[in-house]
Amino acid sequence: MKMYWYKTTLIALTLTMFSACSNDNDEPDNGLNPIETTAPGAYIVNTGNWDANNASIQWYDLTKATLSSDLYEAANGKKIGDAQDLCVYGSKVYITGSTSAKIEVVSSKNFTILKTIPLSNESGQAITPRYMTATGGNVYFTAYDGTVSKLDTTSLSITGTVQVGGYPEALTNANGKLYVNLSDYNWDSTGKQIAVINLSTFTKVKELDVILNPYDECMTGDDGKVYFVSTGHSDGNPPHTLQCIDPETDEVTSLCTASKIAKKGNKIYFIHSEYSTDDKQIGVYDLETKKTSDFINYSDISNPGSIDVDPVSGDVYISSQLSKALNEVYIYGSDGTFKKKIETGYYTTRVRFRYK
Amino acid sequence: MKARRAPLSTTATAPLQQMGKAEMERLGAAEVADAVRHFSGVSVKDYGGIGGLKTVSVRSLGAQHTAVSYDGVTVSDCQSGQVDISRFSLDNVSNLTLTIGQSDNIFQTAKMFASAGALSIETTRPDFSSKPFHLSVNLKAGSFGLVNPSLLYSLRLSKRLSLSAYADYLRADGNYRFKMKNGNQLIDSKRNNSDIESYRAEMNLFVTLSQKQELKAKLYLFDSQSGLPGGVIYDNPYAAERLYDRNYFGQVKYENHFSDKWRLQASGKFNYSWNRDYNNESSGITDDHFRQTETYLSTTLWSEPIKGLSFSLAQDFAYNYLSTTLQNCQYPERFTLLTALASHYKSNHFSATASLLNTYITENVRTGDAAPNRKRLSPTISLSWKPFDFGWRFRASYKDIFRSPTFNDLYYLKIGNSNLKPESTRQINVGTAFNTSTLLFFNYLSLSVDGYYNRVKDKIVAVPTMFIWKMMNLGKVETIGTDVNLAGETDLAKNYKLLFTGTYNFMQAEDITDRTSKLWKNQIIYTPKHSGSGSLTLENPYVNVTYNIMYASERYSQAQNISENRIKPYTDHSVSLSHMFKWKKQQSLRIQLDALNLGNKNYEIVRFYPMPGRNYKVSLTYNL
Repeated sequence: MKMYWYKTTLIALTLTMFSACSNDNDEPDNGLNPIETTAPGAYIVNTGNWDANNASIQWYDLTKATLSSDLYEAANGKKIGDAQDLCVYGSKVYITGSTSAKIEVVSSKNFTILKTIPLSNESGQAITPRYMTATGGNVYFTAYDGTVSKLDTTSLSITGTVQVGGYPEALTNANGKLYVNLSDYNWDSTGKQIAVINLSTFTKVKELDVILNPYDECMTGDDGKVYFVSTGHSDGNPPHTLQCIDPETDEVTSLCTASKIAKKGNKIYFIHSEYSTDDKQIGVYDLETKKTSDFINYSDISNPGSIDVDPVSGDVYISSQLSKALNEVYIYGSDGTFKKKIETGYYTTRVRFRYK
Repeated sequence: MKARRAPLSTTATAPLQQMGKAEMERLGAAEVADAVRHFSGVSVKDYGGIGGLKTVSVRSLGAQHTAVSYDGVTVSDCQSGQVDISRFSLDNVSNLTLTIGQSDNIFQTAKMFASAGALSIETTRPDFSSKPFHLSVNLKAGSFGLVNPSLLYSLRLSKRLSLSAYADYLRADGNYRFKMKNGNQLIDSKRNNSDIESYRAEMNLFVTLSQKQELKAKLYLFDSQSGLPGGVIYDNPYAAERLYDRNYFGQVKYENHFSDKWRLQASGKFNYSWNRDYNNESSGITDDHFRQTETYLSTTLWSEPIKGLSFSLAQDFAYNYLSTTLQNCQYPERFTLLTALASHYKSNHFSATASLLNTYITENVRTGDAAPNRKRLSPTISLSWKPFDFGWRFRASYKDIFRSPTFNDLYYLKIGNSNLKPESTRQINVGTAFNTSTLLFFNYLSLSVDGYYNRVKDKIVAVPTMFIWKMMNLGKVETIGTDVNLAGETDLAKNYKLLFTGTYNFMQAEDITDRTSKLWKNQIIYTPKHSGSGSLTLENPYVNVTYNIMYASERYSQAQNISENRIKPYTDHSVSLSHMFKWKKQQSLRIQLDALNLGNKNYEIVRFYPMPGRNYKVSLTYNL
């Protein structure tokens, strides 16, 4: 049996060059390197793309005007997954992960994990947490199984749950009550209420009729009143509308058209962008004069997606939700002068300030 | 046993690759996706697992630009625009042909002129030269609970009538272990909700009406139920989504060879597809149903008035309808008229193909706005020149074609945009192909090198606005690439043969939509710059051994080419052992053992969908 070894070797060598190409030696991990976050500063919440596990939270140092990399990854050596909402309360920071079905509790000093709370129901199904509000030693969060739950911030355990029905989204607390947006997630025109929960009994006491689809904006202003936005079906009928609730009387009043809001004193800064019409504006609503004026040119920012205001300096932060690329945040003075642009992460949805 | 690529690949004016049954067996391919991965210039988007979705894309143009045909008639899905090739079994397939650009075979349906690339799947035509029936029984079993028995039976009923019948059943648990890293944290887990159970049946009738006329009829059934594991989401392994798929179609093909100079073919097809997407989450149950039907008719007239110069005129009509249980379903229906005029010239040293396709599409909806009528002319030209007397050719081709927006692009909930324009592509290919049977010690050697330039315009992408995404024509992509194909065969000794194939692809596909954007000239998503495959087979009287390798360089999981989006390069090695026992009266038993992904790496083709680690398959085929 004559074997032509040289032919075999020649051909074998040619083909092995493919296997030499991959080098699977990962770089050795550098170890944890938490970033110290000294106030005053702001947490930039990058919610991340759908199913891409690429959320991040950055720290914008207001004194040095510098932006950090992902705080969670630096402190804990892994990525968070997705980050829907962030709440600063006491010495801790709470983050809801909707698709990761968890609440992360981290230290406000350097973002090291204090506790990761996985969320599931009795049937073992993952629960999807959404937004949070904090008061009286508890953090309250909504979830897509129609619940509002109470997280005790000392024991870091869930101590109560209330069924509000539907797909609750953003919520806030005022005058001993929780006001919860019951959104029209299924677009069947059934989601047009705000659920009111009594904090001492932790039960739902009533529902307030509001404009269709109250969604991701619901906050308590420095005047103690509740401000929220209903977005309808984004076809202009009804248009995105800012409404106000007096927590003493629970009376609801419409103020102006707006999609995203941020409040300081008498001014409500807003982005208004309708899908089906050309109504686009970045403006200011004055609560005293009840008049709207332009803040900056809408066209200066590519796809503006969120607006927040520094409670001390009055600077306005507007995110540019660039499709498929890292987002940006534009920083303006309270008079509309452009100050700075910073590059953030994927799908920037909120800026939360911390002065302590 | 000869398993070389047919010489057609060398004489073709546009890149063409073929794979016969013998080669498919040699490579250890169990399904169409396994075989297609060995073609060059093609990528298979694989979500992992036995039941996972697998789509084919030619030169990174996307699955919606690649036509898939089954015995001459295209398989289409108007809803998503892509064909899931994981539903095709290889057990009754005799040939796979991949054409990039336009095929020289102009005696085809007009639809075969209407895509940037085409994968043709041809089933086995029974051969009754030795006896009037054939039976082939196959049983596959493998890791993750894979069991797949199949049966292929053909019978000659009379001198003019024969039939073949195919049936198979497949089930697998599919829950394989995998390892993935999230920074420092190792995720050591198991896929869940990855099971699949499917049935497939096919019946073909072959009628020889006269010496010149032939009729073929086919009935096909596919029924499957599978779990959708979804991508890996950090800290949440819950997955309960189920997918139910039912597909039934019937197609008829009539061919008449009037004379040496005139031929006619006519086809008709009716297709019914139903699928159900069910999910049970803490927020409630969603249960969506989708139903599509297609009625398709095609006629092609072919003539060769002068020897070497032929013409064809093809006329296609298709009616597509979609109904869903989603909110505000518009029940779209689409009428498509395709007319293709083509000509092919062939001489000893020179061949050329030119064609012009006219497309006319009109749509109706029950509510809302239908897409406007569309009319377009699409030209193609390709040439091949053989300067010497031995097998060395140069080729050049140009094709201008488009893909229509799918029903999802146009009408899906609020995201759909009925004003979308088609996504158009322009391809230029220049190459050379060499083949010989007389060089050195090779029985056969072929080498082809092609360089290409593609431009995609009006790419349909989802663009976010406040609260809602919208489909828009907003992308431009420019691709420069090279495809190299090598195949050969040599005798090492008496009864010892060595066969090898190798492909190498270089592909630089860049986003050129907006010069001011961060994505300017970024490599588009999931497209490796370098990729390749190779196989080495040693045939001998004892056990045939094949070693396969597949490689892809780094690629990006998001549009922006930054390090956090980088996916590591991967190499997938596998080994196949086989032997055929033969007895008298043409009985045979073939046994094959495959060890796949020898490196045991859970590499990802689509980010967060890890591939199974090392796994095994055994296949037994009894032929009578």
